[in-house]
Amino acid sequence: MATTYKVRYKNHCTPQEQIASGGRYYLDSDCGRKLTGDANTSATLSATGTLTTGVAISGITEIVTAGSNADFVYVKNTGSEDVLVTLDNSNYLILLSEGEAFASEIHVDSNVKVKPVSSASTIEHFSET
Amino acid sequence: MPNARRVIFRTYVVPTQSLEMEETSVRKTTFQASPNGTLGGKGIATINATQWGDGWTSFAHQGAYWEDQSDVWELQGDTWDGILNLTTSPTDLTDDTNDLAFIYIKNLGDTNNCLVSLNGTSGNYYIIIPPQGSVHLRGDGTTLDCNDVFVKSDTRDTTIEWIIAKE
Repeated sequence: MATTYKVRYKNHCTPQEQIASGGRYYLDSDCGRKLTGDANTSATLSATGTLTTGVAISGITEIVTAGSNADFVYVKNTGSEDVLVTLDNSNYLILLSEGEAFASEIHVDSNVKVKPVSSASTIEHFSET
Repeated sequence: MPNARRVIFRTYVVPTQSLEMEETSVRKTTFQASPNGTLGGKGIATINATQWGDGWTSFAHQGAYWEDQSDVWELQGDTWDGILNLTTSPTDLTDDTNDLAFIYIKNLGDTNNCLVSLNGTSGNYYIIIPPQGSVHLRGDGTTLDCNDVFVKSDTRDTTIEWIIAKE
C-alpha cells in the first residue's frame, strides 16, 4: 500500500492601474484579467516535508542545503523587516516583505538561503524532497 | 498612461499525502503531518506606471500592433496571441536593463516543464514551473534586472504567459 506525496501550489496575481492620483485601482488594462497557475510538483516526492516556523534571521540562514535534492521550497517572511532569498547560494535576487511568500518547484542542485536586507526578521519555511 | 500601477499577489501551498487502500482504485488523501494544513502569503508590489514597453505583459505584446512592427503588416501570417512558444534554447523575455520589480510566469503547456534562470542565459535554471503551474517573485531592486530573466523548456517545447515589470 504505497503512499504518495504531493505539493499542490498556486501563485496568483492581479495587476492593477490607477487612473488619477488618489483614485481607486482597476484591473490593469494591459493584462485584462487576473492571472493564476495551479499545479502539483512534477517531481516524484519521496517523503513528507517539514514546516519550520519562527526562524530568526539576523544573518545568512540556510533552509535548503546543497546536495539535499529538495524538489520544492516555500519560504515566508513572518517578520516586519524585508529579507532576501537566493536559490544558488550566492545571488540574493528575491525580495520578501512582511507577509509575502515564495513557493516554487526547484532544481535538485538548489542551495536556498535567506538573509535580512537590514534589520533582523523572522521566517517560516517548508521544503520537500 | 496610468497614474500608478501595482500587482497584488498571493501564494497558496497544499502539501498532501495519499495512501492506497486495500482496493487499489481507492486512495485516501490527507494533509501531511507537518504543516497539517495549508501555507501561503500575500503582498503588493508597486511597479513603474510607465513600463519599459508594451511587452511587459504577454497579453499586450508590441507584436500585436502592426504600426510598431518593422515588417510589412499585410505580409504577416498571424498575430500575437499572448502566448510564447519555448524550446530547449534559452529565451530572454526582454532586453530591458531596468531593475526588475515583479515577474509572473505561467507554464501553459500540458507536458513539459518551463525552466527559469534569474542569472542570464548561462545562469542556473533553478526555478521549475510544471505544466499549468506558475511562479511569481519580486526583484531585489538592484541586482536583478529585467533582462536577467531567461526561460526555456526542459524537453521539446512548451508555452508561457508572463508579466515582467520594471521598478
